[in-house]
Amino acid sequence: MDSENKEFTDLLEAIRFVYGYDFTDYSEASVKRRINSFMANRKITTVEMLRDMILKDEKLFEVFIQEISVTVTEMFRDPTFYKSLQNQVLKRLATYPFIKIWIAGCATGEEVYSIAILLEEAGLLDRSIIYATDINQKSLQVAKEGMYPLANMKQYTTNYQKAGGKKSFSEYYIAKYDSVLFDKSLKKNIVFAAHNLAIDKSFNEFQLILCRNVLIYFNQKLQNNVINLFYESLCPFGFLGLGNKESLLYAEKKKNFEDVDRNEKIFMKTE
Amino acid sequence: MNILSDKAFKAIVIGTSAGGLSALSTLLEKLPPSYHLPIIIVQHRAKDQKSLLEEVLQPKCKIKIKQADEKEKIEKGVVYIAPPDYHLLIENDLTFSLSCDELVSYSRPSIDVLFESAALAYRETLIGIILTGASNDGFTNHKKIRRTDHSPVTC
Repeated sequence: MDSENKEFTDLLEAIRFVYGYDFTDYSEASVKRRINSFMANRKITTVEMLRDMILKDEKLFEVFIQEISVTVTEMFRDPTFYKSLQNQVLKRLATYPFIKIWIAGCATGEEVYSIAILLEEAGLLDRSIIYATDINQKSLQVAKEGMYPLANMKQYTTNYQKAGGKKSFSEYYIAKYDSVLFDKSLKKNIVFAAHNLAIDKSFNEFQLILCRNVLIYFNQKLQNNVINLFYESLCPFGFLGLGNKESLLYAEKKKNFEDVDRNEKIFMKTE
Repeated sequence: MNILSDKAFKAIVIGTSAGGLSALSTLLEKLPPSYHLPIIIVQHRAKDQKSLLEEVLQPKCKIKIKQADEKEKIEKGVVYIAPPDYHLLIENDLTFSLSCDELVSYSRPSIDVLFESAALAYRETLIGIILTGASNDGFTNHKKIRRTDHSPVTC
């Protein structure tokens, strides 16, 4: 291991030891990129210097953690995924008297509102509860508010229509200045909470878990642990939806899931 | 000695704009299936454009062309293309990682993101090529590769 990598590993170990946040099993290239950009923005020249600074200054660490764990998403990202959920999964969910859904790594909540809209249009929202979790408190705050830039609505409307949306998308929000606020009724059954997939345990049993474009940030070991966590958190015949480029390829539990839609990465727990 | 056949190098990264298809095709058509380096490509493209670059290029080329998969091990004699709407990064163990981070120079995939992580993973054994391009993407990290002491090729 060369010295730059050692400094980097030392930093992540120190953060784990002092603050309890574990990034040691994250995909290194992505974490490095974010740490480098954090350093460049503050003119911090070496990783060692950064380590000393954040170990001494808890406030700076808070800023650091928010910045390196932030993820971006959009409403109805990959419309065909939502279409498949609607066609293959919702009718099965409808057979339960009460539907529990976990959106793990919900970032700023765009996906949470997309799912709420999907459930609303299927007449299922009233008897559903959605647990939306993320490691990043700032992102969760944005998610709770449900306020997004007006400029994104054009793309989201296109996505919504491609996903098979039944109404006019603008019925779900009110626009003011350059922002839109999503309808309060959408979030009446959503619980937003902090959850760290790298260290926290299962907290309920669900019929559907969505975790899209989160596993790509983890190494194979952590991906496997997280799939195990999802396995434990799903009811028999519960559904799991992953991101477009993610798979169960490296998971020990691979054989305990079957494909519901291979292209859209929707799986069902079978045993 | 031609840089592209020099045994001191371990990989080639190529960045190109949306209009770089013919330049890319001219370059890749000439390569034998047993070419001694992996080639990793980011091409800017419209987000919802589903026609895949690898499907367009493969019939014209003898070398194997595929989309880079999450955590896939990088092998020589294969041309890897970044999937649409994801950044493509290279890990130190020479596997791929994908990311949905924000756009860089208005692009995802971004040439800069690939070049920066490739420069860290391959150090002085990397060749970086910018084929065509009107934006700044690729400029920052092209300089980084140059700094590790060899000549980037710009066509």
